[in-house]
Amino acid sequence: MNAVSVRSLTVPFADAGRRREVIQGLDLEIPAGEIHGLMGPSGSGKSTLLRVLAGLNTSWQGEVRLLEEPLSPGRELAPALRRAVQMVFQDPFASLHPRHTVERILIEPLLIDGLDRPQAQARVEAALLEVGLDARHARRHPHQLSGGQRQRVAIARAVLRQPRLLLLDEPTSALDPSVQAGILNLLNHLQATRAMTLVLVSHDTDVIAYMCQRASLLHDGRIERTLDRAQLNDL
Amino acid sequence: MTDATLPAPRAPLLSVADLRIHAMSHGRPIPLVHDVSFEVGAECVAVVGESGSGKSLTARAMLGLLQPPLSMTASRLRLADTDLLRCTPADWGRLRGARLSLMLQDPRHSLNPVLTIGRQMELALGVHRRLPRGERRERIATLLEALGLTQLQRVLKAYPHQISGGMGQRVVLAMTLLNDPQVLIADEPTSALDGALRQQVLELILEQVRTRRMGLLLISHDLQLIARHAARVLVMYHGRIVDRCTADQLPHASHPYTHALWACRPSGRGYGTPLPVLDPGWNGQGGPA
Repeated sequence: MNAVSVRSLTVPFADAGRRREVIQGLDLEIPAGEIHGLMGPSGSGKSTLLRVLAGLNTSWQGEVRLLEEPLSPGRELAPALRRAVQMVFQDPFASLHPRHTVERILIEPLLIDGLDRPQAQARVEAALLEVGLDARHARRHPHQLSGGQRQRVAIARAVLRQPRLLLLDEPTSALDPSVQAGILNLLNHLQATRAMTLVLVSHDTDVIAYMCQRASLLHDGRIERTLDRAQLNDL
Repeated sequence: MTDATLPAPRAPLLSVADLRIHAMSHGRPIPLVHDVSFEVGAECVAVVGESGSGKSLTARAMLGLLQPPLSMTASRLRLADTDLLRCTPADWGRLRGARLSLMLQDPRHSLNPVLTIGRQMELALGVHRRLPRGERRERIATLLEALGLTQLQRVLKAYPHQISGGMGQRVVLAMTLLNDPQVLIADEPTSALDGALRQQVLELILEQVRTRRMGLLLISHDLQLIARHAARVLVMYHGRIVDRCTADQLPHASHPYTHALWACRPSGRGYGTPLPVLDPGWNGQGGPA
């Protein structure tokens, strides 16, 4: 089964009134359970591709299937897919509500999903422990946490809804190397224990080489080449 | 390793001894940087360490940029033959950008968003030197071309948001070099850039530093890049220099903190094995907390 299947994807972009393509006729297949890297220079289309997969950019043409479900251009993801596909952004500070406590940030999606509060609370506590935080962190606001702790909260929020596809947009590039190591270890642990598919965007080839089974190199909105594990070893 | 075992810079351009930085909080001084001493000659000296280790505070102290509630003391702070501890605010104004320059991580924060690149470069030059207009323009053009900025007229007329990050950082480098400083302090100058650009911009900085025989104090997270390009490395942890070595010794560092900083970097060869994570209990004294 493919977790991601993209055929002839084109994503337009209005640049000073002129239409041009950020992604031009891109094909990509990612088998379920794979950690797949997307790399390439700034403007190559890697983050745009990720936003299409997350349902955040709906202005595209082509064929996109996530977890065997087809997506329609111009439409948001269906509710079941919205739970199954989660995203972690580069800057955890910008992606967490500054006036909410960590507990509230984490519990809200679960309450929206229909869980009762005690159930949701138990899930939040378990998720915090899984990402290396604890009940003390639950009472804090994002500004009271370090950069690494904030990214752990963002990862906890993503995995709480038990996704099958996790999209990661430069998840460690705002972090120190030593903090990055802890987050990469955590992502490997979560992928192994939950059998998720991970799509990891990074401009850091060392991070891609360390994490991924395969990786696609994007250039000017197209996949220039796809590297397998042996080729990643030589990066 | 102590300074005594390292080749000493022939003529120190920048020299600091016993630097301490405090922040006043509720009437009490909170120590942030403790007894930092080092010298920089016509060479590249790198400062590495995690966020909060005091690297950037140390750099700002060198430039007289600490503002209350921060304050500093030192037994020596010299730029060549100038005693920086005796500088008045007016002296600092004449010195910064002329003899001692600072380059920051993100060109969007270093450039004025409402002035064209050409205008702000002329201003940077005009603050320190009175030159005829033609000479000013020629000097700017020569420098931008040396830094690989083609399409000169387009760059000079552009506003910062109209140029790429790599181009922006070349413009910032040009501005820091315009007045031929003796020492450049570069605080994470390449970490906002893509991999390939990162290497290019750092090589440009180093080439300029070499040909101008300047000193470079390079603050960076990227130990692999530093091992290839710097002469000496100072490792900071919790406000102290805990290790000093030559850059080629970094991969074989015996100090546990330096070794951990080096080893936690991911690579293809480490695929499938967990990365070492710095022990949060390590207290900077060489033993467990």
